[in-house]
Amino acid sequence: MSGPSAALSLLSAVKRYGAVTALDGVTLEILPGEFFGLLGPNGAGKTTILSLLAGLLSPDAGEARIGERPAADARARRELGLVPQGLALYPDLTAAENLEIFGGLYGLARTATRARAAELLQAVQLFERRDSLVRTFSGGLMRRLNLAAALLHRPRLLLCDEPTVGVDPHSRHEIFELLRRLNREGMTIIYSTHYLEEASRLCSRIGIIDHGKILALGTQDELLERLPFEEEIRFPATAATAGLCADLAGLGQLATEEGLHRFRPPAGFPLSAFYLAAERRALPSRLFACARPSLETVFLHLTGKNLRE
Amino acid sequence: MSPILILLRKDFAHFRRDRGAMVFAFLIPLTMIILFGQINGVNRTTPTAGQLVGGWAMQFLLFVLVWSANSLFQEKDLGLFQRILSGPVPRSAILWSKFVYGCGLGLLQLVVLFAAGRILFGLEILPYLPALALVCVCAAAACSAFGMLLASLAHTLEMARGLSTFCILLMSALGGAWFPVSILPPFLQHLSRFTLVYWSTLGFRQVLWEHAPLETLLPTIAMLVAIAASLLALAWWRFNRSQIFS
Repeated sequence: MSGPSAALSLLSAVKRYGAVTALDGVTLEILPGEFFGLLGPNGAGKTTILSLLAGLLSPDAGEARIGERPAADARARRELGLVPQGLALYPDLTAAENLEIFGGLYGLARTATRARAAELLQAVQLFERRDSLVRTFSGGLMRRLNLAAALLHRPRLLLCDEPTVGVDPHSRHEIFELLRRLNREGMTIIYSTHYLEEASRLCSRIGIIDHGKILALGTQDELLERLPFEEEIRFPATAATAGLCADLAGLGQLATEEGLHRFRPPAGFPLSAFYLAAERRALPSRLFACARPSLETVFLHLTGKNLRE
Repeated sequence: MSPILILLRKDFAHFRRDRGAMVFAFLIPLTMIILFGQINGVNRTTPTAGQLVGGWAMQFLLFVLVWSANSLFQEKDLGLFQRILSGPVPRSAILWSKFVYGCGLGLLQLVVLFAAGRILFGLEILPYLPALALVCVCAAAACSAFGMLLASLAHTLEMARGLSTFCILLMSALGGAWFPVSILPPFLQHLSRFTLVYWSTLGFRQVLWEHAPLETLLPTIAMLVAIAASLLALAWWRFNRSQIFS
């Protein structure tokens, strides 16, 4: 059951598109002030979750709520800003005109909209381009304006659907900084992405989703703790290391991918034992890289596939 | 300001910047009117001037308003409905704004083309301005509703374009946009009554040539209003079942 403090929640939500089940009984609670990451490959159900929470779709079963109200309630949706995956902007209008239209649609007075638009254009560093037609913008600039348009009415909740797809590193950095600042100021953010690095950099809690189901939920540390190993030692898959692989059999998990062995010893396994085995095979230490598992490892462990597959 | 007015302002701002739309709405029909006016030796002493201007105006009115309704597909593809509908704006505001925009744009186009008819062929407009304005408003509403219906029936922009070109050309030929309906065989004359072009060109003829009083004009006006209302109701019903807002 949803606690009264949840800012956004899905309760056993099911959504089907014909024969395809896009969401299969998803329950999710986002607490006020959270920066929540929704991590999964394309087609996993991320956009469907955001569409349910934004009131754009109705669940076939279960509930989607904004606070205590159904997400379909127009008053509840006033508290919410959506950054859609597509560049939801009018290309033949200027940046300022776009913001004035969206502000007006949220019921802001014209003078208030203009002031807020100027403030947001400054925040996303587009003020100098306010009178340029949007179709003359690069992908990165459009993404920044796409974000600004969702913030006009000062929402308490922000749903970002892959907001950095196809943007340059500078724009990505600008978007990250703005989102971090908004979250520090108290905004609740759901950030859907299939980039592990983004989820791990930005989000305080992450939900891993695949085939319409939440597979795991927690902070990055909590997710990593679900792995049956604490370290991963990577070394090249060559004839020279084949003997070492034979020695390691039974001592832990050994996976080979793209010319690279990944040895994952169980918790408490002394790493010195691994290096002794390598030394016995006269393998130089420069071949080995020891790393903490990443979210990608968690995803691989949970689904048996890479996120990019 | 209401969402409908904001979306209307956006559509007109968009139109002002779209040179292609300007050419299609005004320049091409004007060229056709001048060209066919020269070929037919049109002057104020024959009913041909009203027929010529009204007919070409109707055909291009349909093209422009179907194009306007089809912009719903482009806005959907851009993800704009997701942004708009995630706020407090109902989908009916989007549909009403498109319909009213179509009526406004159609009216503007008719005003420009009839003004050109006055200048080029000495078409007598001023004494009959109220009646002509009434027919123009009703014709623009019927054409706008027709555009909405086609957009609601099609699943994609390409399908909407193909369907609309076929329907507009067929209706224009049958309805008397290109030549008077009276020259058609009796069977086709009956069929032409099922097109909105017929009722619009009839209205223009009644005002500009027959100088009909309001009571004579009323059945034509009523017919255009009925066509507009029924096409719009059908379009609404279809839009509520289509995927355009999903």
